[in-house]
Amino acid sequence: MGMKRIAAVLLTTMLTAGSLAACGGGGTSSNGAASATTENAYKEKYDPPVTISTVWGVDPTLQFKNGESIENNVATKWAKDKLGIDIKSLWSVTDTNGAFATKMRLAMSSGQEMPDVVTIGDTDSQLAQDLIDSGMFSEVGPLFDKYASDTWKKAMSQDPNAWNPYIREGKKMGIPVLDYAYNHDYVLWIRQDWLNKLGMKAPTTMDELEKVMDAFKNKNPDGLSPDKVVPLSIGFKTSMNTWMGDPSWIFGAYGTLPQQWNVAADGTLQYGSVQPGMKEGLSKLKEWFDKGYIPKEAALWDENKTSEPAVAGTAGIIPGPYWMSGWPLQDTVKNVPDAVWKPITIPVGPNGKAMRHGTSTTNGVILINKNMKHPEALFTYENYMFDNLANPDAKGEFKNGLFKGYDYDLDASGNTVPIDKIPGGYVNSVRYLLVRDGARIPNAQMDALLKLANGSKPETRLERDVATNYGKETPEAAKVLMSQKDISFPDMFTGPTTQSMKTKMDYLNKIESQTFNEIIYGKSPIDAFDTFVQTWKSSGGDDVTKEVNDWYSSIKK
Amino acid sequence: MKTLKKTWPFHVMLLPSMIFLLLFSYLPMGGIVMAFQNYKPWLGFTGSEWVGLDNFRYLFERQDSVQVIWNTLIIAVLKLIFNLLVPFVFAILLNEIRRVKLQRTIQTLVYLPHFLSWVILGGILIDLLATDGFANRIISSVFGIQPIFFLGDNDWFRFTVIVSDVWKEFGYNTIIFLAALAGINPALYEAAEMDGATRWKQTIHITIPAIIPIAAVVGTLALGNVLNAGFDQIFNLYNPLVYQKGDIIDTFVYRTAILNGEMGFGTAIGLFKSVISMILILLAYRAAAKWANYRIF
Repeated sequence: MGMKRIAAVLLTTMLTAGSLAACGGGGTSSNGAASATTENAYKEKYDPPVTISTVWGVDPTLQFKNGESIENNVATKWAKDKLGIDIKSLWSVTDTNGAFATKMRLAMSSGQEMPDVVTIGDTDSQLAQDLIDSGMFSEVGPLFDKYASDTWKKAMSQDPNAWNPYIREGKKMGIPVLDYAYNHDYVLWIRQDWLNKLGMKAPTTMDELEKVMDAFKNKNPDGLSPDKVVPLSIGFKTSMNTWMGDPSWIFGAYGTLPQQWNVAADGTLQYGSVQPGMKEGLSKLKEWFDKGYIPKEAALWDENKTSEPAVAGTAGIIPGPYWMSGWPLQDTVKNVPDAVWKPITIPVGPNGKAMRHGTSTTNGVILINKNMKHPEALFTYENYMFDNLANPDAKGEFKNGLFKGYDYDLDASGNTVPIDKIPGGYVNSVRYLLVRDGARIPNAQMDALLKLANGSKPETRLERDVATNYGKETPEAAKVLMSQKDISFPDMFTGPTTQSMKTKMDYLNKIESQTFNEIIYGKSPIDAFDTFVQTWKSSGGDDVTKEVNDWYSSIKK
Repeated sequence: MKTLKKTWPFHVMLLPSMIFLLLFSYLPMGGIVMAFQNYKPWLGFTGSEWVGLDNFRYLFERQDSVQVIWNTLIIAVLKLIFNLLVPFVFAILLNEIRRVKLQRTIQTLVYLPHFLSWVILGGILIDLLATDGFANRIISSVFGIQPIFFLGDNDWFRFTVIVSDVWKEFGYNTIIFLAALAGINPALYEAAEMDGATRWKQTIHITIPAIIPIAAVVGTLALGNVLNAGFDQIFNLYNPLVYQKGDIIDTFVYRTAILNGEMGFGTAIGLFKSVISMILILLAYRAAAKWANYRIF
């Protein structure tokens, strides 16, 4: 009898443990049986409140005040009070060294409860693709069409390619997170004080550029000896298509952009690095290398390294984003007090052609769980953000900033105080919002900058923000950048990595960088380019091109 | 059975660490199956598609894979040899310094670079070894030769990598050898002096034989890394100009497996490395047992 009782107790314990484990695992999905979505499910405010569960990868530099946390803070309280949306955190992790992606992958493989809504940033784009392919997230296209506000829809339509990475068999599987446009497009920054002293004009063609570089080097206005000057600071260590110290426009002058997929005359996608224009660009770069116009160590220099001679005052020209006068170029005057950096347009090649690489206007994706009970609540939240936060003309509660006492504050007379005067300190509370950066309309920032460049006073929140927090040359650089809007070409392949890419692309990239650098350094003749193109095509490049075009035609339908 | 009665408390004390070992070192080895799968995290080990040896085939189908493996072996073996030889000689020389304070100071100074990360050191070396950098200015003023492109020349890259690695790491092994030297019975030296042995003879016949077993241990343990040519270092120093002589298995795995999320492929290469390393360790262990009479087990 005694034994039997013990056995019974043991058995019960085991069963309880087992059922508890089941609850902890995928148990919740069973009670998520979709409640029939009624026609007027969408509300401005939900009463009783609805719940959206999510997970967070918290930026390690993000700060909190008043004892708040990512799970419970001014933004979650606001959402509950204002919209009747209860934001429930399943888990959060400080996102260092890809911790968020790791935790998300673990959650996925161990069958844990998936959040209703999750935002995945571009740095984890492979994870986003994997999550879509896992089949745990729902199609979002119809939801977006049904619930998204006009402001959001209009913002989305500013970039017709925004949806491309997230389309599967014609279905939209994730909502792109919009970012400001042209953020990584570049202009040339030139030392205007050098030009003035030499009595030269800003170069507009490649020939003029060469004359300027020669004068910078051999008749340096600051009296630097020729071997100390870097007339054009560029680097190739990571790529020939990057953001600061970027050489891709040199090939653009000959009609191609390396290391990205461009639209060919016949409407298909072709890989820029194997086009004939590359050969002309490479021989130009080799010539410049031999003449000492570009750094001797360009093959070893990454993006940040190219800014060093620029900041030190020994470089004459550096390609880079329009915001570079804010960082890092603002430090040049500490080394050379009368240095003046000015933005100029990308010079045109012998046929009057110029090209620069464009910028994707998205920086991540929002995924919606298949079992989410009230997907419309997400749209209530984001529509509010687009109408009141992203919209530059909004006069509502966010007209000065997001949360008073957090990212802005007002003095007695109702004017905003400088952010370092906010009682208890400034915190970037826009990062507490459900979707990264709240909401952004791609063209809004450029519009604000252009308005400032034309002499208007900053009026809206965004205009005041760019006027105070960006470098003083930034509005002018934005104007220069936008004057060449038509030469901006983004990488047209944004789909998931194809099968051949997985196994072949690294080798192709490797022989490409190797060949290009060896040609520039004179270790291989210029005709090595032709051999490279042959090898590229036969070693898998043709397969990759075919798969890329299969994808491209699938999303064009 | 009788001994078990006596020793069972020891076995119980051993149990937690055995469980830990099983749980954290042996159980995860099951993940090796990924090497034979097209692994997808949401499908798991049981659901992912079996692809046999495809992942290994990708490794060997690449035109540069032999070159990459070769680069790894050459760099790793040279590092292994010099990281053994240099501290060995240095420790003996340092031991001859009679002023303890000076000895300690030098010991600390050579040990310091060990704590620098390659990210920082990489930046410093790129500046230091630039064609118009510090090193080249000295070389050209002393020897009057053309500047050497240490990091951008296939003929110099491996040399630069090995010398900088030895410079960074030799202080660490020096400490191990110094400890061994401190353990030599002073009576041996006294006796040798009585017999009229010079310092040189003492070094050859007492010091070196006394620390050879330690060298064998250090060498055997280092062999486990024979296919690790040092990812941190290479990754921070290499560039397209030296891919031919500088691209190693780990940088290659980083680019293909980690950046593309190809876990199966990464596991396959990891398994390949482990098998080769295992064979080398067994061989080295046999050799150490035979010639240096050194046994771990």
